[in-house]
Amino acid sequence: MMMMANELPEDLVTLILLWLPVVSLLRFKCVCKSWYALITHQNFVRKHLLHNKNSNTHLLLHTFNKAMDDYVVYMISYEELQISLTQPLPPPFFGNGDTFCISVVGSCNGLVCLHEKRLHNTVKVVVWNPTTKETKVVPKSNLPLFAPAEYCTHIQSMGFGFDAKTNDYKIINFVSMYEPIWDYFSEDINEKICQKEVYSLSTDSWKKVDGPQCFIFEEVPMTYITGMGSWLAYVDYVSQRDLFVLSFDISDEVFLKTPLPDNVIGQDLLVLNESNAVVAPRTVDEEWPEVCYDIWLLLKVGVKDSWTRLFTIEQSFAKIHRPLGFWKNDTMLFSNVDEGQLVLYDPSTKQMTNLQSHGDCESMQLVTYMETLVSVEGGNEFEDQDNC
Amino acid sequence: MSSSKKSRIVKFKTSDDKTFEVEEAVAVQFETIKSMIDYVCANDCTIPLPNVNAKTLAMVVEWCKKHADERDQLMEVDVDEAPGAVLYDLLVAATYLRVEDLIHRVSQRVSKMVIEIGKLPEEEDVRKTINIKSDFPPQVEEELRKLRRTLGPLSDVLVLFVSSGLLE
Repeated sequence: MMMMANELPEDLVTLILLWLPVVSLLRFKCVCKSWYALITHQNFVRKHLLHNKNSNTHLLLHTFNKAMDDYVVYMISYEELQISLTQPLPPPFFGNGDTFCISVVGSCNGLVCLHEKRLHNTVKVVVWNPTTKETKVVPKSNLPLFAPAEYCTHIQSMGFGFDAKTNDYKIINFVSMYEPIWDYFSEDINEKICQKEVYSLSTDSWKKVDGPQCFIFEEVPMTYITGMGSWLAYVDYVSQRDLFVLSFDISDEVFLKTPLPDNVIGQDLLVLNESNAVVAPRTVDEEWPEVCYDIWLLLKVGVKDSWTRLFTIEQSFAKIHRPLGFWKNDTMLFSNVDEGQLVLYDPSTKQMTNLQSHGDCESMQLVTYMETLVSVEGGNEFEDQDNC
Repeated sequence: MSSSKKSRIVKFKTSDDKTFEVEEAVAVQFETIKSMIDYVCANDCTIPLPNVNAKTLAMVVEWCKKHADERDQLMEVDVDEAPGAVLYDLLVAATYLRVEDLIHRVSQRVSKMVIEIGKLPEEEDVRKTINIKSDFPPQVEEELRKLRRTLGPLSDVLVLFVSSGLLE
């Protein structure tokens, strides 16, 4: 076939290359200088991302694999729910084994943010593009430097997302500082200083942001929905605990609180139909220890009245360890206790399907993921304003 | 020339010097000339198409004649079985005349061919197939060859090049 690519105007080359998967584009970077320049250009990267947004959704399952004695990620095709690829974590982590605890902070436009902890101390934060295999180690936060003398600092929770206004990726840290004489587990807000800071990938630096004094449930990962990160948070008072969803607008860097519905004890926060959903256990019968799970959907962030109870999952399957996410038609993905397997549950038919991934239920995390060329070196400035 | 709007005819002259008469209903789908139809018809002009030949224009016209919902069916045969050179002509014509749906369809079809080319094991085979000469400095070429032999897929080693400044 004679394509005469050297005679093809660049905009036509762009048109054709936009359809290609990332692996092919990585290959074509090696063809010649002009193709290299085109494929690595920020505008092409962005166009390619938008062009493939609806046809390129995967689920990324992060878990500890006992056979491999290390953390792995499984790429799962969204449509068929089949594992298309299993890969170890990138070099900064590889081979660390079970000494450390590594979790996924978030996944956005093909970048995955990973957080490595030892006990309660943050060891490393890395931004990773699993498809291009690029990684970047995020510099350490400088908030601890400003903590009162002798105070301990601890990153309670983190977030990761995209700021469409400045074409930048940001990480949010929820830091708590406390005097060592207080128990780490103390939940009296007056004994701790809670601070927040934001890291920008393009400036490669941290800055402090103001926000409400509260605690984040450390074991509940953030949700990310178009420019907004959310966490399950609480403040304890003498007689009661206030539970709410704390949301952060990644572009405007402002926080929003949405109280949970009255008497609802949220256990997990997940994304359902592009909205936040809370999974809340409820006792069915006071004489019987069985619980069921209510799924509450938050239609509008910041509006308590917009919570809607969607459906209830009965506790007919005791082996479910933890809900991990929703799939099509309100079906849910769980981790199960026995094998550390990923299980699909359909509430309408009460059917369960085992998806044959081998992991460990404690460490399992599920995020949506798409293959992109987005660089871990951060979004450059826009060179032009076209938004196509 | 008829005064009825529906039956107006727009005349084109292709690169191989053939005159084409195209119904207005079809010609309005060419975004590039849409705005000049009134003028062209009133003055009985012929629009020259210096980079579209008669065979290609016939295909474009055929595409535009069909209603949008039938197009995919029609082009499934025409576009999917067309050889690269025909697709190339079609893509140039579609972009020149700005027939968006056709651009979309053809570029997608070409990309499928390109993906296959991308699977060729040797860089040089990839370049030959798309008729591109490498303009990387010889030492980069040599490094690429060496690294691929030892490391496997090239994509993984490109990061090294960028950091070593060889590609700048």
